Amino acid sequence: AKPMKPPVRTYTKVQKQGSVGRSIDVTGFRNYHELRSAIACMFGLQGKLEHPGSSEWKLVYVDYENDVLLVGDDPWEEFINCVRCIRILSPSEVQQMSENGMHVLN
Amino acid sequence: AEKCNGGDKKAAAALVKVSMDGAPYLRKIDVAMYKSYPELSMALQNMFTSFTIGKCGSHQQLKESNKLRDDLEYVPTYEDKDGDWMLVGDVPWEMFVESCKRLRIMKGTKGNGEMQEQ
Repeated sequence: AKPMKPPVRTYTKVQKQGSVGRSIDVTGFRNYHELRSAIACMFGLQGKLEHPGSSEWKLVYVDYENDVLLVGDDPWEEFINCVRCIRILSPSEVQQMSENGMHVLN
Repeated sequence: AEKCNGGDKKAAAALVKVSMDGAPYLRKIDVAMYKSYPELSMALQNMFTSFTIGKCGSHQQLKESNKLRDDLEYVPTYEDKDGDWMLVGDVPWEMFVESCKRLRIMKGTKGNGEMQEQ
């Protein structure tokens, strides 16, 4: 019943420090869980990204206003429209960024 | 912001970004989900708890009362419809929900209300 724009098939970069970047089509997933599992699998981080609350690893994204946001807060469809690239943060990166503010990604 | 708020189906939702000075990334919340300032305070506190441990007591809340002006280390502010950054808690809750475009939890300024430039 909801009016849906035809999804634009765009590839979104997924990056992790120290790893080769990947590109995924976020519209190919139905929800956050599928996305998390796929990304975990791509980077050999199975079990570290699927349950955001219980892991020190964080999945963040940069939106079209250039803000760095935690993946999972938006309704899924909103997220698909906003996401520009995704980044995996290791526990030590999170720590480091908390100290240095948000300049690391900018 | 237009891009992110597209679609009339979510008329009731008021998704806003929340930044906290010193936190590594932003969060988003639907302010329309909450019914009062204290509820919002609790939600914000829980959201950023991992970054505030050791910086502010775990029992501490971002209260809407006058107290936040002098005894809290973190001060919730919001950008209103006019693009001005205002202290959270002054206007009635419903008015706040309508007007709030973005939240920023500022590092406190010992009560003098001066903004620290980012």
